[in-house]
Amino acid sequence: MAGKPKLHYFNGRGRMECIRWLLAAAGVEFEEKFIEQPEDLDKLKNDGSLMFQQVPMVEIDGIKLVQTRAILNYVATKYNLYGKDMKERALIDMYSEGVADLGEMILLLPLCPPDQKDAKIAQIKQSTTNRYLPAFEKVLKSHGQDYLVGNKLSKADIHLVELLYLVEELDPSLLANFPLLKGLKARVSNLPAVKKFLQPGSQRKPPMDEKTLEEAKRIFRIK
Amino acid sequence: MLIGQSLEGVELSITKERVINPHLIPLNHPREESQEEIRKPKPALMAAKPKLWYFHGRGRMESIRWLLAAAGVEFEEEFLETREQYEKLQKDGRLLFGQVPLVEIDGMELTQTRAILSYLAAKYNLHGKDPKETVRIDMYADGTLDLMLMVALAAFKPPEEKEESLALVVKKAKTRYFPVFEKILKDHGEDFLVGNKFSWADIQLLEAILMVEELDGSVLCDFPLLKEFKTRISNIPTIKKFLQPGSQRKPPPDSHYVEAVRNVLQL
Repeated sequence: MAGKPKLHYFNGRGRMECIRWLLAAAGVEFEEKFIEQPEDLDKLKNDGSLMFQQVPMVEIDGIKLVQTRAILNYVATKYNLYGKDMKERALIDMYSEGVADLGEMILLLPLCPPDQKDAKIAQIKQSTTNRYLPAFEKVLKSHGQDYLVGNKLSKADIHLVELLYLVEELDPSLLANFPLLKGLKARVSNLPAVKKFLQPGSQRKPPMDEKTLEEAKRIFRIK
Repeated sequence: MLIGQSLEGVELSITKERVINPHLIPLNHPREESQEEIRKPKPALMAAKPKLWYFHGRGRMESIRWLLAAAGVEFEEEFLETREQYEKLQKDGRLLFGQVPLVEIDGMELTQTRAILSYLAAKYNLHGKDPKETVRIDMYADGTLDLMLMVALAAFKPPEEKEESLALVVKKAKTRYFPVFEKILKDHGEDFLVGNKFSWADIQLLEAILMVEELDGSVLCDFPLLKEFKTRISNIPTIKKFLQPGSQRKPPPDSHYVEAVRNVLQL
């Protein structure tokens, strides 16, 4: 299957962004078909392209993959970003799931009712500095290696660095006491493929603004 | 090396400065073992049974219990009943993100439900024979797991919201998930969801079917193939055993369970 992977989603980060990051970091060129109207989403549902009527959906190697994690794991396996054996994979999964948990909180923030938002942000910041970042800093400290698992770049590093950028967007001071994480962020950011992705004009999507939020709500019919 | 020392076939003991980086353990066990090899007597290194740390109920651990049971793997359980137990686990550095489920297996302290499930599925040859099968299993398992977690979380909601959540689970099962699996079985006409072989996806689907049936007994009425599937998978000896009273399968969450969890986690 010589074709490039094709990503079906709306023109924003959402649940597709981590997939974009992973493909980009793996040096894989991909196409994007943006869902712009609710009717576009309906069409995908009606032609049987979306197994559980949901996006993200990625067409790759002749299959229409859904479920973010399934997609990420398939891509990681294909491009050797999943460790060298089952045990490394277990660690990579464990770390990736932790990143996903915090990432999910940040992802859903725009949908938070305005009167609850400040409290939610405070909770996210607390989880960041008390639960998640210390865990990853400790992992790096314990082995002193450049990457989280097996002294080799894996999906866990890419997901974590993506998260660190999100954390920085929320509040740069949150990273202050995590020197090893800052080092990982710099190191991964300097990998040629990642460096390219971080430059303007790449397929990386900007933070959600009011306009994009309204568009997403309209497309996904969220009240 | 603290973790290396604790691998000598004896029960993992809690030591003070536990290093959470198990990839320093010599990785000298076979990468993939067949079902036959798994059942052979093993050197002391692999003799310890997996140990599960969780509350005394389903929650996020139940799918793990199902997978181990279906694979014919004996496991031990430590139930979290007091705040002190939980704080000790945290203090000892055994919970990477301060959370359970925790499964001690093969010298690792694994947390994060999906990480544990994937590891077990791979270890017991329930994760497909190649990446294309694996991704199908992952897609199906992720879908059913999402549905079951909705049920687990509903237990903690106020009564009105709980009713609403559970009704939504039944609706999603009937309109989003079960039709998909019915079609998959119809299209290939095989006994199992993927690759004509029993996998993690089949175990999760059965677990989900039974869970939704507890909410609405008629939920399979439009799905004849899923009815047959349910019977067929339930009759697999390891699963049949797990479905009998006295097994390590846990009952649906009740107010006692919710209270116990709230108490331990101080929610």
